[in-house]
Amino acid sequence: MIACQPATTSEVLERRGISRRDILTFCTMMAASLGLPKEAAAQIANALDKKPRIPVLWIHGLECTCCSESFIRSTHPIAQDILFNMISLDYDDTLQAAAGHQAEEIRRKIMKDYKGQYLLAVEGNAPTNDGGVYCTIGGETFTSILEEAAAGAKAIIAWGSCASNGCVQAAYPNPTGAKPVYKMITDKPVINVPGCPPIAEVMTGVLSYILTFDRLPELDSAKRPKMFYGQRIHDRCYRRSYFDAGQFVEAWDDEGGRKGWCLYKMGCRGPSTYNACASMKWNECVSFPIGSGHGCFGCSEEGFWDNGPFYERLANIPNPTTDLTADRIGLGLTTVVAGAIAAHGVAALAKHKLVDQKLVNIETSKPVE
Amino acid sequence: MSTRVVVDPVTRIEGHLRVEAMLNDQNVIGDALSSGTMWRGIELIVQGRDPREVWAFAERICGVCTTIHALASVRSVENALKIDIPKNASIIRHLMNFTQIVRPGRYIRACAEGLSTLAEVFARLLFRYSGNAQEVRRFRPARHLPERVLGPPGL
Repeated sequence: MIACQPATTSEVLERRGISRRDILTFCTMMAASLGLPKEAAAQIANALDKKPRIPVLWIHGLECTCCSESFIRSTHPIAQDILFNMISLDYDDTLQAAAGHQAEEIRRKIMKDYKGQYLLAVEGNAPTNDGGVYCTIGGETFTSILEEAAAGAKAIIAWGSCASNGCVQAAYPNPTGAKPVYKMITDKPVINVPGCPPIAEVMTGVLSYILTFDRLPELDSAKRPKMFYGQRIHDRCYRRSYFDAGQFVEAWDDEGGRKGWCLYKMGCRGPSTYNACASMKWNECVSFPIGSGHGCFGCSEEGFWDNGPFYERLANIPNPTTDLTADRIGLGLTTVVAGAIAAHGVAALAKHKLVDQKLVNIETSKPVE
Repeated sequence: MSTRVVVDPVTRIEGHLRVEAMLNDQNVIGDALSSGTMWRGIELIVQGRDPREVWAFAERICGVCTTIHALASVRSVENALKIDIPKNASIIRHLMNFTQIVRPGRYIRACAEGLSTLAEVFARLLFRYSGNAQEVRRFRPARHLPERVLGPPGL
């Protein structure tokens, strides 16, 4: 299946019996989900028609395969099919049929034939302690495979929190010396797609963008695509109104918990986590952790495992209460005014005393009568 | 004269696996070993942590069968602290466990073929319960998997 002249995506799709209408529907959906103007749908369709499929090597280091599991569940069935055909996924030791030395031969052949053209998708990260013995594939250490594959790659996609920022194996005491990809490879463009795992549509969206525009999307300071990681969970959370109203779950299964109030006091990391869970959601846009009554762990943030305990709020922010009735606001205003008058009286008295104290005789240091 | 056969990596599984077999003169396997070639030390990482959150660490041992690791971890903590759980909690855990059996059915072909009838019954019940009719229609593990997961021939 490894042709030296790869077919365009549209050709492959038409061969597989997918209609032109379905392809264009996909392009429009993809443009909308990437937040692009409607003209971009035509650009995506153009890319599918004209550009050869990008060869992709998908390698697995210290990881749990949850990123692959998420990826294959991309919502739109055609998107799923397209992405298995849009990219030429030539090596992925979780999905490919070849095993053993045959699998390794494919990897070496792609690295040689498509030097400088292929995308390297990394799931998991590399152990650096004890010569990298904690992860080996075909007798080679993953660390050496990563360095070798990265040398000929066009760009590197770091799937998930493992590759992006270390995740669970890099949590204290980090027994294997796990290091995220951007700390290992510094001479290639790296795009981080954190999350444990990342949202399926975010993964397919990032790939579509790279194929369409032939460059990486705009990244933030943590090398994450801004289009998906530009907002906090808290900004789009459907329980945000309860936060603003000061209505919090105080204990599991209390009255607030049953009514679906804000989980901030139960340790929800939504206010400090940049991800798209609250707007894109999971499992065909069904729900996300907060929707099931559990706070956010902040799994797309660096070092979230050591930022625990998960069920306790660590930071203190003032509690804004905006659910006041007119009566209570009136009462509050009266109190404020009364307080202000009292404060004014106290201040005036203090000032008076202060002035008194200043009136001293310089020679005798005694107060002037 | 014996032959040594090594398959590394074993693909289409979660994690990293190496299998070695020693064939004797009659071409029969005399000795064999398998070895997981990845280690992350999650056992060491969970030491000294808040017991309420250890399930989340244990779950990351495998991204395919996450739930059962989480359930086992929660049960271990409860056994250690001598906590009895209410009946409803037990029912929810059983539902989660069965959902887990259904879920990778779309992914692991062999498993799906063996369990398809059983899994489909469970899937229908579960997804009817959750009101997700779309998922019921899509769930046809044994018939869907070969082309869906493996992609075009030769991948």
